[in-house]
Amino acid sequence: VDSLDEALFRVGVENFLAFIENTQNVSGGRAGASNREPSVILMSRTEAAELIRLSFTDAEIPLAIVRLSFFDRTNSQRYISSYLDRRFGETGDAVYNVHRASPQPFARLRDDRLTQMIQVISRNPSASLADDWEKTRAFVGYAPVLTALAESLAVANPAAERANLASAKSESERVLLAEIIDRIVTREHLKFSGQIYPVLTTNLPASSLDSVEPDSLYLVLEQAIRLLSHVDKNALVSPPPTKLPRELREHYEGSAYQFMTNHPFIQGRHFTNTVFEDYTRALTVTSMESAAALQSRPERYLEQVGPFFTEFLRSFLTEAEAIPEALAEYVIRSWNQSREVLRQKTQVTLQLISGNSWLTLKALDSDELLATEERTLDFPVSDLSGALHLKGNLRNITVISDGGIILGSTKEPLMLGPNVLVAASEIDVQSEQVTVGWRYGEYGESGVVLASESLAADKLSHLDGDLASFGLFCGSVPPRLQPYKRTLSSGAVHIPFADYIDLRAILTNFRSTIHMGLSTSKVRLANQVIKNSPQRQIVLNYLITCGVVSESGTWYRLEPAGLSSAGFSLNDLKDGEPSHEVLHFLAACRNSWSGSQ
Amino acid sequence: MMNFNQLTKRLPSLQEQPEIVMNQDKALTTTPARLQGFVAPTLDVVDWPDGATVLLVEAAGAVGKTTAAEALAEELNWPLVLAQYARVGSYTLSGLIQDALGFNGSYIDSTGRIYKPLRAGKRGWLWTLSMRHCSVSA
Repeated sequence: VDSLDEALFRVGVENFLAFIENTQNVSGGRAGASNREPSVILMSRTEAAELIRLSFTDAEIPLAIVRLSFFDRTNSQRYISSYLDRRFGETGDAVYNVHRASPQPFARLRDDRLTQMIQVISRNPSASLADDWEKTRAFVGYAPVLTALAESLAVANPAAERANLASAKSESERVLLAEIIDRIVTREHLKFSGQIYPVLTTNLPASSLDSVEPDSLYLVLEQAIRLLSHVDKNALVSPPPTKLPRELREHYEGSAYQFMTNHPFIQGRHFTNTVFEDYTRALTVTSMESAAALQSRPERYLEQVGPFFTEFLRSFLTEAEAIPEALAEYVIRSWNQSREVLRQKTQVTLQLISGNSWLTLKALDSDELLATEERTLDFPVSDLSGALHLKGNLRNITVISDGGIILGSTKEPLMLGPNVLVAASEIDVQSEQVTVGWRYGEYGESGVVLASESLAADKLSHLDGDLASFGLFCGSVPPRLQPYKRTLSSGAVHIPFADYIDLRAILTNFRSTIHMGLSTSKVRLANQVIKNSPQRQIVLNYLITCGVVSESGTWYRLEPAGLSSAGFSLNDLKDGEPSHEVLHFLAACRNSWSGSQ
Repeated sequence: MMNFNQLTKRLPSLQEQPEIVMNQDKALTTTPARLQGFVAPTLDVVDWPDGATVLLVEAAGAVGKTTAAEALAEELNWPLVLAQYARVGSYTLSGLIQDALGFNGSYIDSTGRIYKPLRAGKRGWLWTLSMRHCSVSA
């Protein structure tokens, strides 16, 4: 039985577990002990696999489990050859026969490329194929990566390509992969312009020849735009290159379309590989040119993203460039997938506060498969809608918003957990079926908290899961969810989560300066953060009273000694949850303010 | 660690592909074909207790589950269910198999359990998965 993950997503946990129970019956597993061998094989990704495992454990039925491993070195080489054979059979293009026609130069090029990948990933310039494959197997033995690599190795002259390779320097696997793919699209560009440019220019008067540059035809972004237009059936309204003389357009469009339909990234109207799709989609969603060229913005067609999307997006954007809010959910999904491949735990923080919105993606644990340290990606977020709709399942995430958050959709069941905190002005759960506290993998910890002034769940008809870990800290709650409403115990100081957000917004506004240390201008803080918010002004005043912040003319300065006396550091503000020290500070702030009233 | 051949040898194979008596559109096929140039993955055995009647093959996304499923089904002559197209809930797997392969077929018994009368397998071994004859014999 294949594609169980898609089935789980489609039908929800309850139906899925009923299906697994039926599987136990069909296989004879519920008939008691026997010496038979398996008669049903379930193929599943980690998420659904965990549910299957729990179902068998609960029923005390033995379950055999194997894990598909990444390719070893020999099979990786076979995979590359097999891919090239298949492409040669499909296209007849001689470059796909390079491994048969020039086996030795090809093998040297292939091994150089693999060695380069290993050295980049292991961050060890002397790492070798023979000794370091296992450490980097999750990347160099991963089928989509090998497909991209195989495609880049399909060259007419492997010896010349090898010489070019020697000059390439990549600092990370994401840059390396983008570079590998750049080589493929550059090859397409050269093939196209080499064939089309002479034909195009025969139709132009000599005086207009300068208006067409072969280097401007069928470039990376143009290929990506045309591919997306084709795959998504999203019409081109302003096809690139925009500077092409009008009289050449018809001929050019015909040639470009024919060329694009044979592009190695697609087969028919589908991408052949998740690496190619993620690259193409990440490239186009970051480009104004693609938005102008296509009838609808490319992100509108985003439905599923693969594990490479976020990494490519990060490599295409500068640190300061923001992603639109509508893209955040896809970035999170891709990140979770990429870390799942490496069996790393993720923690995501999405803060949507006007003037201070960002998305932080963390991989918390390293795995023996790949020698990575803790990794963090940050994206500023723009284009806030005021009510973000997170349609998919959530796990290991903190979402904080001063607007509304819509969770799930009427079409799909919603799974929340483990480790989900959503704090917003309003929360609207749209799903009819919700499973909470769903354990994921071996590092699962339950805990789902929704906090808001008001919570709506008009369509909710079924709630299951680890309900003991479900908590609603909301002003108003639908009757059905009343049993899960919680209040803070008496004697405790109630600290709205917004206080933490306020403190964080103020203190993260300080920047290093040459003469004044960490500081921010009063105008900037007032315009970007305080924005006439009385509560933020209270927090700022308390910071000044405590000596954490001092005033110096038109500037505020952050005083390290004052911060130290307050008992916390800026690092305590990096996470989506306040530390105990921060909570103590905020409680004192609240008490101080209450006492002054 | 286990290679693909070692895995298929641990599993009972059918002598021939079961015959479909009612087409189930894309939800079930008895003629899956492995990808041309299929490169068999290696497998880590997480657990294989005695008497396990179900094998769970887990993997991260895009590692090659579908390709492996097609190759396994072809090698063993087992029907392949594509769950994304199938009804998934109570009695749906037994229902699907019964609909596709027949109530009185040789693949599933009247109680909805997979069974196969003793018959020479591809590798010349005999096996049964019936409720009443739970044994594997070489």
